[in-house]
Amino acid sequence: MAKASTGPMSVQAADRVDPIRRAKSVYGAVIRNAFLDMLAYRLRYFTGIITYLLFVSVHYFIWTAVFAARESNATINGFTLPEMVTYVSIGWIARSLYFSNIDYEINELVRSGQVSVYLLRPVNFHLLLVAQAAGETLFRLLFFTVPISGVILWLFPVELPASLGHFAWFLAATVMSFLILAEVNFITGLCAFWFKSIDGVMRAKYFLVQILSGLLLPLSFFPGWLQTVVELLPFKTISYLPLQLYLGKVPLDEAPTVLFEQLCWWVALGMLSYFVWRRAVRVLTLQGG
Amino acid sequence: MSGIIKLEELTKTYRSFNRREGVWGSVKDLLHRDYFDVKAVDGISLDVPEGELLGYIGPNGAGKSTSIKMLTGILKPSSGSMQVNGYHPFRDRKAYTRQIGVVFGQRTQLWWDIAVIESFRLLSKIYDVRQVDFDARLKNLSEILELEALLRLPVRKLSLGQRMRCDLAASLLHNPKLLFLDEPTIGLDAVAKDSIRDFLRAINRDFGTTIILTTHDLKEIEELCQRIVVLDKGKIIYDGSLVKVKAMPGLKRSIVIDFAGKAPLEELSTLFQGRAQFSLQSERRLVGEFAPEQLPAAEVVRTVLDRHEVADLTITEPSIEQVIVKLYRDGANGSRVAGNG
Repeated sequence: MAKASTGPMSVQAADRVDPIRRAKSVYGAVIRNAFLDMLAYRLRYFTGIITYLLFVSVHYFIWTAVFAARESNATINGFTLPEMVTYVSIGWIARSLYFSNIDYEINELVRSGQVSVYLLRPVNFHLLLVAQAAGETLFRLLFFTVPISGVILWLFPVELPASLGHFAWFLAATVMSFLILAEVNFITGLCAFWFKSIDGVMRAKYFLVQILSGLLLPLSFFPGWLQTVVELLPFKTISYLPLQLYLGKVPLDEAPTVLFEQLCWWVALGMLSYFVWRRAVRVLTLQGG
Repeated sequence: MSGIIKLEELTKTYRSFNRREGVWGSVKDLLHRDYFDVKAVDGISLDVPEGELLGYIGPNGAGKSTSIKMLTGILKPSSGSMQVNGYHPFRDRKAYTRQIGVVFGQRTQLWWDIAVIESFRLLSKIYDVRQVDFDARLKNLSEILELEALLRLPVRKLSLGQRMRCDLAASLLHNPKLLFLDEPTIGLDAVAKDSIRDFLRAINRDFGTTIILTTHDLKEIEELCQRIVVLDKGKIIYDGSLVKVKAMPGLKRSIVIDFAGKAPLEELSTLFQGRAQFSLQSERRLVGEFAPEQLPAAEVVRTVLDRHEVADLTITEPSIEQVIVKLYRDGANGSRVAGNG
């Protein structure tokens, strides 16, 4: 802890601060700053709204075409057409909330050498980046998720959540999705400490998450062997499982199990993050920035 | 007074390897690498008393950045011992960072798109600065650095000089005992440089902050630092006072003489044969060079004034550039210049 300093500029060295209160204050301020930071770029999100709308529309037309040849209440791999449309629409709306840029952020910091500025401060790099991503998500909630939801719900026949309880669990699960994806992105970004360019790694991760999370296609559409693989990976907890909650395909009394599975993955990935970060710092402090 | 920075035989070795040529060479590199060690910092020892303003200079690749990185705790030394303000910068990094302020001229520690004041607030939280202290320091710093008008602007709208002033303030909000500055005036115009220099002098004088200044701008060193440490090829080739190094043998003074009539080039060249070199700059103006230990300035002046009518005359001490170039040359021959100041 700081020794008493005598500079006339100081009045006294800082008191010992309760670590939890300090964390709240520091990372709360980071969230706030990230929010303000995004405000400078709110126009950028108008193009994002069009992109999302395009994605959802394409899926909508594909699924109506697929179901057109069948009876009105036919199911494919357990999904009816209205469920399918809901799955896609709500899936993309949720994505606008759990999505984060942490990997790109780290890559930029490492490439520009700015990362050493973070090591020069008594601050947790990992928490700082997650807090920053949370601030951005809060921003998107207001300026992106709300308008995009309005447009999508108005244009497409999206079903309401199975029940209020299901909706509450779905919201909680989406918060966990954010935390889990944040860890995945953090670990992906840390690769920049070892490789000259991680553009390929980031792109691969992007598509892997889109497919294996079930964002593009419900996991029940996957071939059997792939379903087995996906069962063993964390990605399904990002999109597929929360959507199952929304649609009521998971009974309410099993909802805590879904959250628990997410929690386990979050903890496991968090530990991996910590481990990789320690190695990354070693690389940096042995080889220079 | 015991030193706030104590380095002994501090060394940093990077491991590198020779890349072989061509495609086949790259494949071979994958299997077996021909490693060798590069000593970026090669056994430097340094003792800096508290409150000093130290100029840390050297050509590119001399090991300045590497040693600053070790001093700030973000690079692990390969060997040697170091202690800064009672801490080992690398091992005690988290605690140590609270004691220091760091400014990299080419980087900013401020958020790009939000008002400067928001970055300051966040930093004060990170460093656990109490509200009263924060207010007092901010008031103080914005007076000296004239930040008042800048605090509400986002960093991207600031000029380089304004940004640097804000960065300096940011690095001092937690009242660090040591301030490390890496090229703080790079790319700034003369006015901005001047105000930053004044500021550094002021905080060093008034608050006793120990300042380690790395720069390529030798004028800056000359104006700010009593003591300089010159680095070359990872070794300290000079450590001592600026005044002493300027009296080093082999350095030349220059003289410019404007005569009332035609400049007597040949006459003076013969008179000071071997002790001074003259050349004609215009019809009436002569410029010359001489080493003070071979030829006292008084003798030159007396001789010239006795024989000719002179309109104007200036003598310039060896410039710091000359000093540095000479130090590098001597350093290249392996001798460490004695500096005991």
